Amino acid sequence: MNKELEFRAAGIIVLIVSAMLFSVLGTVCTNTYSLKNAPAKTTISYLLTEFPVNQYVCVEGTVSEILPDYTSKKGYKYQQFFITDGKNSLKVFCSKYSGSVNVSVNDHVSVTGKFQKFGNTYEIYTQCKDIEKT
Amino acid sequence: MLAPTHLFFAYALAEILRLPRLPAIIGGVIVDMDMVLQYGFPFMHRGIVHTPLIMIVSMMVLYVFTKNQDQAFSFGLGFVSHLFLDTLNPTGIMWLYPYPMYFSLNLAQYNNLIANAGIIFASLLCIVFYRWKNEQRA
Repeated sequence: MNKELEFRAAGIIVLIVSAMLFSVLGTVCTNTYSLKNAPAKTTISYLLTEFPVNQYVCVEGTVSEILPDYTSKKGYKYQQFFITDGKNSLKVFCSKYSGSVNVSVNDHVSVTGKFQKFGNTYEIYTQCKDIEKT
Repeated sequence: MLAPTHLFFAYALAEILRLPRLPAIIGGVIVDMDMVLQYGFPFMHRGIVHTPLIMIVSMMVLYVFTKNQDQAFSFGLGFVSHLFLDTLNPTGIMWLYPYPMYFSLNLAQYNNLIANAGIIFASLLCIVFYRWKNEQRA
């Protein structure tokens, strides 16, 4: 009876541990792939003259204005702020799903994400955790 | 995690514990039916439906209707397997609901391909191995 119980318990433990290991492996592989395939750095002025809509871009700028957080109807939370290169400003809209980023006005940040048009404005959409302070 | 991952994981657990498979599979995937709820907290996806409280209530309801302890337990097993896999995601689960705090191990995004494929693979191995062992012992 005890051996039978141990046999079943071992199966459950193996299944749980393998689920956790594959999750870690998946995250490590995805992050490594993202780093290797990171888009080339560009500038805010270039984005607002060439408009490479729906392309993944990496841009640096200084935070010029912070807007209030936005919560969608489904309850998902987003941060939003503007970055500037001194001439032009671009909105950054990021999901707090995987964590938030602590930015203040005048912080210098590097943002990697999708350049897209939302309504009449252009913005970079990304995950907040992928925004780096430089 | 994705629906097939929940399905195979619940199936594997039922196979290991020699419980009825169908209630476990249903319990493992039905939890995500709350995607249709969009009424704000807690009536939303990963809200009240993704809690042990609802798991216990649904097990009791199932037991009242079926009078079958194994089926109710198997359904609960599938349900709790779903909650465990969702705890691996960044959003997490409210394990102590009605205390509104999410617990998360934050190991992988719900749609991470390698994580989902790996868990399905491990589940399939367990299903095959324990089915073979169960047949040997029968």
